[in-house]
Amino acid sequence: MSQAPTSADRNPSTGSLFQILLTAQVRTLLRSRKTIALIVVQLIPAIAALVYVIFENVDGLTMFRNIVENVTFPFLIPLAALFYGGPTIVDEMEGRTLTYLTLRPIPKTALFLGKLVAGWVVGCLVVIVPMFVLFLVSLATSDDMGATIGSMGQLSLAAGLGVITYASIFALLGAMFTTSLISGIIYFVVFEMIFAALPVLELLSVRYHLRTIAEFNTSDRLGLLDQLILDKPLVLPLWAGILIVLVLTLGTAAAGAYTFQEKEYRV
Amino acid sequence: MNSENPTNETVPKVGQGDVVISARRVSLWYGPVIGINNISIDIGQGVIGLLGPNGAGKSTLLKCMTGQLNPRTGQVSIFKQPVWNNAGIYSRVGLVPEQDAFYEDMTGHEFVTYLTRLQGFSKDAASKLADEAIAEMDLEEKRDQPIREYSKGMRQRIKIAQALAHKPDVLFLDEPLAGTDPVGRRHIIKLIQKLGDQGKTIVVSSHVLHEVEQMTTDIVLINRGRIVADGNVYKIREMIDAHPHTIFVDVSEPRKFAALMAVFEDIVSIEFSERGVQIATTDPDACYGRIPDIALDNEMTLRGMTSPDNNLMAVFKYLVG
Repeated sequence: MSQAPTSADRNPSTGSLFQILLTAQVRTLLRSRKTIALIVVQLIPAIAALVYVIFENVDGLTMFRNIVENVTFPFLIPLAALFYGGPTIVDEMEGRTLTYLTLRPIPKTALFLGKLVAGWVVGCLVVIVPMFVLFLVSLATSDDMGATIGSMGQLSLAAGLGVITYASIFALLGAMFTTSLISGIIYFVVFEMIFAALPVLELLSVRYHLRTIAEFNTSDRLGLLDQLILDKPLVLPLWAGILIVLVLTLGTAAAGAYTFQEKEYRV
Repeated sequence: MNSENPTNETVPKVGQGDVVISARRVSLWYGPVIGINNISIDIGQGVIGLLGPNGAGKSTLLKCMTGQLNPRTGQVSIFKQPVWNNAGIYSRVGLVPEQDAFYEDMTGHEFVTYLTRLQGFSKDAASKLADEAIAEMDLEEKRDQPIREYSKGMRQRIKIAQALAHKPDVLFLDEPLAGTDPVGRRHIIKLIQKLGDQGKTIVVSSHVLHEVEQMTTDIVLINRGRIVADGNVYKIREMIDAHPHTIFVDVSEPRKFAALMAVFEDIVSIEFSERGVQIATTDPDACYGRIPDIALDNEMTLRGMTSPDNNLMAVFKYLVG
């Protein structure tokens, strides 16, 4: 064997290793089959919108917001997050490759966060790019181009925050329970479907806060149950929605990293 | 060999030179089942065989030593640093895990390069180190094929390559010869011996005794979560000298030979078998010297002497049961 490598060739600092891991993971995720499949699914609303635009007389902005509110936010964003957040560690566990990574001089917290951030990046791309395609289709029949463009910006922000928040939650669940799919589905049904439909408890759902950030019309909410308790729907200001989502994201990411650091994974 | 520690507990030591790996009162259990029980050992340089039957606790001990599992009691350290949750130590440590698991879509070169990059090497340096490790494992022709197309032996060798590429000072191998053909096996054994000669610490875990015997004479024997013996295999064999030692003697006149041997006090029993005259003795050294003399003095042809007790299997069977 040749001589040991020189120190100039090696930089095992956490920052350097984090960057290497992040870059490699983003590249791997972008090339994966699941990404291609998910992009196709995410493009379905844009394809449907195109059909509508061709055969129907619709206002582009209204169509855009309706599709994003009723399809992208409740289904496509959590789906992307489930694909890229939950498997952060679970894929390595199930593939039994986790040992290779944990026996590298990268702290486990950095390892977890590197894979999670890679999931954020690819998840956001997979959601926002098809949203942009939908936006372009909508622009063709929009009466108010300025409002449509502004709407795209705001909805992209909400969508991106949604992806990273859901992904962090699913990653935490994956680290805790070493299974991403079942725990993620249980979380989604309880918090994002049941709680999101109940007055006050809706504040515990990410969906509620994403709607706040997107400034969807609150009067269109499922107001029947709200009206039993409240005179008017609960509305938080935009900044509060962003703050809550960011705190939730950072909190669950930190909790996931800590869990991964302390837990033993029997591969 | 033993070493002292600050609590004056005498801890067994295997290997040469300074202590590299140190385990103190390490225990781990899986629910009600004990994996390893109060293990203390020091490991120096050279090749050390970690031996035991399936379920003995070898993998559990190896996983505690490599920081994959956190002992419930005690501590493992490498180069005097605790292993658990200490990522920095892995710059100097390599592991060949037992499981047959890879990033299947990667080529062999991509796989080794990626994992070497995660040791902190630049892209070019990692690629070069990967090339060297792959060449060392005789996989150059297959380096650009996806791992999913590799045979079992190739998969084992690429696993070793990823552990070697960053030139660790300590290497753990969990069943490294599994799935390899005789040529591959020989290659790996020679490599392990070479690394041991270079002063590295190599811990090889296996249940296949004759393979470990080819790599090293320093062993740690583990059974039911405890160390039952440690040290040089010949010294361990001496431990069982109180247990009668069996020698098969293939001689031209077995009955005459048996009668001549029977007069000695150390001879416990004599039987006749297909392999020759089977002698049980409590003093194997004296007996080994005596046998050719008796054959020569009585004009008998001595065709051979063998002993099933001169190998690890005998040690193992005796100590482990």
